[in-house]
Amino acid sequence: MAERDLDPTEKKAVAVFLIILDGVFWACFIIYLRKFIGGQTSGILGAVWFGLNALLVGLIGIWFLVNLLMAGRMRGRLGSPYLILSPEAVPLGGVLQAEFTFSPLRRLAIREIKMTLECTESVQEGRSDGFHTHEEVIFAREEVLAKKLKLKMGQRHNFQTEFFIPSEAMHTFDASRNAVEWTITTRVRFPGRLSYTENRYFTVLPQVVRS
Amino acid sequence: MAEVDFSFEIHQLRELPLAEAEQKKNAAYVGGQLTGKVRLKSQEDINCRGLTVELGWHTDGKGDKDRQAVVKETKDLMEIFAGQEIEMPFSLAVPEQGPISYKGKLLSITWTLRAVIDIPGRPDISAEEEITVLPAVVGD
Repeated sequence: MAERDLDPTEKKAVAVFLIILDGVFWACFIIYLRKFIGGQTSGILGAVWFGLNALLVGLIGIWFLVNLLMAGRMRGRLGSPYLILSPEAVPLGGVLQAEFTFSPLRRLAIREIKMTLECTESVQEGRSDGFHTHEEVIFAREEVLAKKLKLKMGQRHNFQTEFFIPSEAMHTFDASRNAVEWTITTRVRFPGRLSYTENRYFTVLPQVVRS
Repeated sequence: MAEVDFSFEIHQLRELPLAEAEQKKNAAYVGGQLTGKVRLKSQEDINCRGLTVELGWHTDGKGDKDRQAVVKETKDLMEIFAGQEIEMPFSLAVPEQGPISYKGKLLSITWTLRAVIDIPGRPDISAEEEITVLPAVVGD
């Protein structure tokens, strides 16, 4: 299965969760500290425990925010990247052409550009506590388009590849609780752990190309 | 409940080679027609409103079930007499958007042809036959 980045919404959700958790730890730390100073308790261990947790969660939160901001900056440096898929709907046994284009706004170092084709089954199961989603990647292909690039500002760069859709695979299917989805994921890895990811759904038709 | 013997006769796909057609018995292409006959014979008299043949699909697997009756044809009938053989030809259009029959890891999709005798005031009598829906064949 291909490595997956958190999308921006998920990253924001994690950041908000860390901020709230950090706030709770700091509040507990202050309460324990005031009790200790006020002589209501002789134990300092509670304050120390919550203080250390507050520091740790705070540091993780700061690292996360810096990562989020840097990733946004790197995305900006790519200068409005776009992905073209052709044809828009492809039959089973057909070929999908993918083209990724961008013009860096500054000089830019790139570790790797990779595209992944995935077919995923996604089902929802209703339980007493709500709906649970199960996902299984049933087909995946990966293409490395470029490695170790040093790009100049303003130059237009275009990377192309083709993916063969197996004739025995399942086409795109979308019912209320069951689905089969096809996606192309483009991932640009920068030095460090920063990356830009774009996920695009496309349609595979219930038609098969005559062999 | 009255005992009724149902039998389905589904026309084979002409486009398939014979060996493949044997493997894919009861098959139809998306966007094509499923044609055939349903026959029934009751062992006792039945007062009914009609006989319906419907084509539909349902999912099975880890998720909740989705189902859809896609197309149906109805023959008006007043009464089925004991020992009388009734035959209903049908020609049902399989939707272009499918889905095709599928067996995956988390879900499977099964198409069925269902014959239903609609009996007023009593449970309907029905029988089912599994159909394989194949992707339409297109040129390069």
